[in-house]
Amino acid sequence: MGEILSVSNVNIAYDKNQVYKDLNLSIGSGKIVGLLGPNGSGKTTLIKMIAGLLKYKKGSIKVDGHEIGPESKALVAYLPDGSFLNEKLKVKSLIDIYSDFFKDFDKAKAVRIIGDLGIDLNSRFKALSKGNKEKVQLGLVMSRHAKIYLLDEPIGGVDPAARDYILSTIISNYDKDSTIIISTHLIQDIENVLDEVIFVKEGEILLQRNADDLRTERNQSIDDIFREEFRC
Amino acid sequence: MLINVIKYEFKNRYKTLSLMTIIFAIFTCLLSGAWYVKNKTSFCENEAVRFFWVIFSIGCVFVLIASIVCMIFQSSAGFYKRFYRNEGYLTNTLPVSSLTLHMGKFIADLIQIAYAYGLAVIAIPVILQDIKIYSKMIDVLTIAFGQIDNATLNSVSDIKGFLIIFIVATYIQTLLMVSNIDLAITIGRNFFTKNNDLLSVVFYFVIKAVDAIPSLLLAMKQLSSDYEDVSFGFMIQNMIISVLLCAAYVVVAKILTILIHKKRLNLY
Repeated sequence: MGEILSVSNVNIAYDKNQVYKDLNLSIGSGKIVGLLGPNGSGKTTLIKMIAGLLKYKKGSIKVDGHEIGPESKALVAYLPDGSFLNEKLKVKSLIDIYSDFFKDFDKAKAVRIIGDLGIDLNSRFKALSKGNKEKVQLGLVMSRHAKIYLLDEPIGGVDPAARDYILSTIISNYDKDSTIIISTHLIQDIENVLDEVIFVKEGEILLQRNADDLRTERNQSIDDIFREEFRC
Repeated sequence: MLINVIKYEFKNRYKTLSLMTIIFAIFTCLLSGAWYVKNKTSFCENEAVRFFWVIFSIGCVFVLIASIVCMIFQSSAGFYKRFYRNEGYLTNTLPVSSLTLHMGKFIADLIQIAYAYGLAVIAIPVILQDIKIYSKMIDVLTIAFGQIDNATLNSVSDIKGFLIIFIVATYIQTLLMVSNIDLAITIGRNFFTKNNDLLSVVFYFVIKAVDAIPSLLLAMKQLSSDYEDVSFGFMIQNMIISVLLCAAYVVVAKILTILIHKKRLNLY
């Protein structure tokens, strides 16, 4: 599998606090990658830089050979940690927005995923429960045939049953040639689906390994390794 | 993609536009109906009723102007929400350039403000059907906008010309206000990580102060002129210069907004 994401010598700082210094990273296509680290380690910053929401000072990030810009954004499906849709619009209008802007958006798939939840497409987004809002957002993002899916804490703040639904939606709807980058600290829930793990600590990549190799080598689960590496 | 951005903008604005249209329609219908009743009866010959009538008509004009002001602030609040709050996570990850995003917003603003002013141009003459009130307002305007020799304003074409330039000037001023607010928000949100909303407000006043300098110079020139020399034509000429300056400021504000958004986007 070829390289889908390359990060070279990237530097970014918030005010005077350096978050990443000369960050280098390469991720191949067709993988589910866990971006793991404690709160404040820089997971969301990295995801936002790839999504094009944060401008870095130095270095380069390329998605399938494209620098961050309209071309790369057309290849990246991004699910932020929290609500990001206009609450006043109807669900069908939100589907139309995705359909208008993303050429890789499968409208029929979105209608099916959201319909399976029993959500009326004519209902307003703000009228939905918190759980259903998150599921609609996930449904819209996973209805794209993107090259990279960036999922920032998709299972954070939801009950275990909803976590199962979210994970099964992700696994059953992504293109097998695409790469999923999932940022989370709820490792136990997702470790079985991960092909690769990246541990991030204080703006540095501690390790980037194949998940099975790491488990075999250490004879521990990813969750246990994480607890060991990030023990306070 | 520009069409899609404009469509996206109007999906977020159609409720405000609909509400404003309803307010205008209700007030215009009510007032034109009331004028009809008044003209058919001698009820309004009474001085007290007449006084109430004048106050009521002016109040209606203020309500309509207030609804336009609310629409302007809604446009800026929408920009803040769509670009720099939660919805920014969608807006800024759409596969379109900063130029297209901002042009879409700008075109939507042009249409929305023109629509609002169009409604006002239709509604206000209906509300002010009493020519005495109307001419009083013209007098107030002429006093407010310069020491014009009233005799020069007697011809209908002068009044029409003045009103057209006044409407165009107000339209461009409104557009400049919206563009300045957008620029201030863009500076505050992208250059700072703390107190960025407060800093956006501060930057708005800084930008406003900068673009007020040429207008102040024009006003000073007008005030320093010999009273006898201040003709209607002189005032119109100044208004045209002011309109051109505002239009240039709108272009500069838009270019800066696009450049900052493109080079320094920081959605922390």
